[in-house]
Amino acid sequence: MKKTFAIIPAYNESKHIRQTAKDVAKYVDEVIVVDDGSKDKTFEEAKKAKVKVLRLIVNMGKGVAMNTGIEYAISKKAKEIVLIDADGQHDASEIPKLLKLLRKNKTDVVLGIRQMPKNSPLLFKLGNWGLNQLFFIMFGSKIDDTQNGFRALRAKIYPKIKWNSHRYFVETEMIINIIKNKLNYTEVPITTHYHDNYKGTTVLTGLRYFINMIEVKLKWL
Amino acid sequence: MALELQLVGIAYGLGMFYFLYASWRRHELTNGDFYIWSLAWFGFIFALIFPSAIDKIRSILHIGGGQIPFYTIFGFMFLTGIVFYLYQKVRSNSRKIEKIVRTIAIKRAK
Repeated sequence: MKKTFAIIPAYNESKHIRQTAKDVAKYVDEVIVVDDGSKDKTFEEAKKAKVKVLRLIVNMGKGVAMNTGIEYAISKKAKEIVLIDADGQHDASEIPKLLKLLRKNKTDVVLGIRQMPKNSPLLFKLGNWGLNQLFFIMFGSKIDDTQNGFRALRAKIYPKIKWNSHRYFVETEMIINIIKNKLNYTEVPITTHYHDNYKGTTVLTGLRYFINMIEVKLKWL
Repeated sequence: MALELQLVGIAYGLGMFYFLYASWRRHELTNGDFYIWSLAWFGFIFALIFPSAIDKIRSILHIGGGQIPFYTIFGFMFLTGIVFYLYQKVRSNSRKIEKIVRTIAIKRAK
């Protein structure tokens, strides 16, 4: 019985999705690519990798694509779920490292921690550091990377950590739900390769994060 | 209140009632929507034709300075109420769309 599923939410990633899906398929039982209403050939390219491809008929955001993929995986009796970005920034060969930690010591979630490349823009480093500090102040837990998309989790905890965010805030909301439900988590350093132009946190995105954190904190009270 | 202002307000109220009626006839609004909004627009027109009718309410609420502050306060309250209602509707519709899109994706995959 297949038990480890990888979910790859993808939006306009026709350049990388086929290779990413092929690489990921080596380390899990089944790969599910969720095409988030892409305007390019992401769906067709993902199909060429001979993996399961789900298609959202309109672009709904990464959070919805992830929810859809996980719910499909659970309907197929998934036991473990790996979440990984479609743009090839994560190294699929590190999946066993995450799964090993997940299986050890009853860990519920393993969070990948990006090692910032030395040539990352200063604003990017500052933005990430600032958001992580803000997260610590608001939620009392020190997480080294609240926005990284490379994670592994036990399928049975999904109902507890299910998120409402559609876009940028989804990873952070997942961690907030993990803390709120007192689930066991482990952090592990991962390698990051940026292939395209930088698409990370901007000042405006940071501001949105901040507003979203306040919203979630208010719901928590 | 200046007669010109009253006339402009009455024309606006009647125009809005016409749009309301047209939407109702096209079945874009329920009967309940139509009755509530008709009441609102006729109340608006009535207050413009008989401005002294609202003096009693003004005196109870101690809103001085003529009728303009009264309209400003209640207009602002009305608008913020409408904005909240629309926000809630947009959020609710967004959730419904999400559910439909996800259901279609999963059904097609199976």
